[in-house]
Amino acid sequence: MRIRLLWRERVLIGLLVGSGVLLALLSDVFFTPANLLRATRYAAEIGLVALPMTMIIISRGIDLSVASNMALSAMTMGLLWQRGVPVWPAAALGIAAGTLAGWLNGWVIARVRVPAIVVTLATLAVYRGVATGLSGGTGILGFPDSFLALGAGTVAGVPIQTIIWIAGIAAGAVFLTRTAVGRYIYGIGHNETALRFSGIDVDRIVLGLYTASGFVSALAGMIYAARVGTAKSNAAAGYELTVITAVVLGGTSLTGGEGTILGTMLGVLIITILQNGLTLARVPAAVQDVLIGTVLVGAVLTYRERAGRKEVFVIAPPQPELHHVGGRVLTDPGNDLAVGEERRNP
Amino acid sequence: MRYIRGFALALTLALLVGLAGPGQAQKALKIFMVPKFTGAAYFAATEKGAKEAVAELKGRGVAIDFLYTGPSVANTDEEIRMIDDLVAQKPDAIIISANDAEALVPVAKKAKAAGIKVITYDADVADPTARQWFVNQGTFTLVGGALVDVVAEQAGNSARFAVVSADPGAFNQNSWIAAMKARVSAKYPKMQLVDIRYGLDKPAESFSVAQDLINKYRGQLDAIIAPTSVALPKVAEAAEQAGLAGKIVVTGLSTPNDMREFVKKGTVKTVVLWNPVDLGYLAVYVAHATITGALKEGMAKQSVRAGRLGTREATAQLNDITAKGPLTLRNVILLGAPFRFTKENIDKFNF
Repeated sequence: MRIRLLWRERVLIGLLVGSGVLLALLSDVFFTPANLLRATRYAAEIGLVALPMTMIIISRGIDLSVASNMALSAMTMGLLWQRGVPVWPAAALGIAAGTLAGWLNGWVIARVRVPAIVVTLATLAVYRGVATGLSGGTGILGFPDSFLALGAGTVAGVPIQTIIWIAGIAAGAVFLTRTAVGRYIYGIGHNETALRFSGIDVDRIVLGLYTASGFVSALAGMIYAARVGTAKSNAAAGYELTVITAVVLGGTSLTGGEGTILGTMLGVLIITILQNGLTLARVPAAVQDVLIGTVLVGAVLTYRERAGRKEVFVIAPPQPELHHVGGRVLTDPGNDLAVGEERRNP
Repeated sequence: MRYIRGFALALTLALLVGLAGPGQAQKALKIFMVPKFTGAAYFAATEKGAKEAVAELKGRGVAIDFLYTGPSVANTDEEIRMIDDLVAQKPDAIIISANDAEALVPVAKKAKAAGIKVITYDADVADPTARQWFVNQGTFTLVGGALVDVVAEQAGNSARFAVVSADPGAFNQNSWIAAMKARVSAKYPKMQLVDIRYGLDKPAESFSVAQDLINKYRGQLDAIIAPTSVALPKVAEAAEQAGLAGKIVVTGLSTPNDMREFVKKGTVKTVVLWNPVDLGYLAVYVAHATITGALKEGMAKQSVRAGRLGTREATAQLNDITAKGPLTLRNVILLGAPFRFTKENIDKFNF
């Protein structure tokens, strides 16, 4: 299989390599396997949640409740364990609770037809509130080592959560690019009405996306609890914005229809190595925030510049005749790309 | 490729210009200090004290590579990540104020296991074995007792006083109140705590409960103690409005910046807290003594010499009073008697 990269992804790889070289010059500790592998522990939680988030944003939705969901499911797990449920069944039930919370988001969005930003803004507060209420304000400590290994253990030197993240990236990329439902997700973001007229059950796909987001958030919640050794209601506070930042930096368009799993992975890695490397280079946190924000705006601007050029190229040739295929209007019958996907160079 | 190179070059230049900071000294003792967050005058005061101690140690020929860095806002996750990153630099000691006592335990343990001396200051971690020493700014017993002492000095040993607290369930406030009661029964048997009101740490509520107290006990109340920085200025304001400025003793826990005007006018003669400059100063001396081996974890009867502060005792076990009953603190070094801010010294502080 030939790996074809989008312009955005090339920019991101350049950015990743460029900042990596720079940070290695600024700190002698940065470019060591131990440091880089350790940094992926933090990338994995963000990176996992960013996978369904990418798909949701491609479908022109958003899920702001992911971090609250992490806290809620971790709290559920912690309370069950405290009341005598063995830790792994408790973790499974915690993940079930998070999946249910995600399904609830999806149900209100797809069936009741409330905009995703409104629904998940509400559940951002609700899920965090429930977690705080359940906890009574104190964290739960003392989980067995077998569970803590999920957050602190390694396999052949690689953190366990990093392995889970890599598996998630592979599964997400295959799903999004090699399955019909994956292609429909781009379609929903690009032209939902057209997809509905084509007889595709858009609501079911949307419901599935938010449920998946709930499931993955809950899984990340378990990893978080295992890493910090505590189930607490203020877990992962503010993670939703880091996740969305990574997805947008990765080239996913907030207006829907565009984005790749590879881009998101690169976005997560860039943010992670900037935070890690700049801390090692003794750059104050406030300056780090400014730098990461600047990188985000700068990168997104380069995507826009390119998109404009592409438009000129597309408009220039004479318009082909319209073809009607099964209720769909196609401008180019030879176009085998999903709607909204950028045309790749041959 | 042209674009990528251009982009990388621009980034390189931008970063290099911005980062032409201090180089890393070789063989110097590396001491890192991570506050809860950097954007607060309180923590800036601890930094000032820490740097003062570093300068003194350098003057004595100790090479120190000191770094003060932390999250820009109070964020547990960012603090954990930063500490973990800093541990990779293998400092000799790291001084931490924990945003979350429980969540910071694993990263503190990890640092300690890597041979780094871990000192907490201002806010401890939940597990005392996760660090070597906690530099304690004032136990509940000491701070609560000091508030009662101020009332006794300014309103007499048989004063009748009331308390305006935060929330009825607030652990810190309830613990200070428990310590006040203990001090009263141990040292001032004629003194009387007549009422406790709760301002819920809201300015308006605190003001109105202070007014209620003044009206209810008009002429029969000698002092009001507010062990919360939200209520104390509001209690002072209520006393002024009732025309009782200077006639009723108002004291409590707050910061110089919040209380400056009332202290200068004389409505409040004494504000009790600790001195964060001294706290940061002591923390660095403790870190240094732990690195050199002058302080050994778990050994009873040790002391640390801390420059202008003199000698401080390191205690393996220290008993304190809390709202949930007695508590034994392990491996702590006390900053000392709580600090009193008065008209004479308040302008030296900005936090």
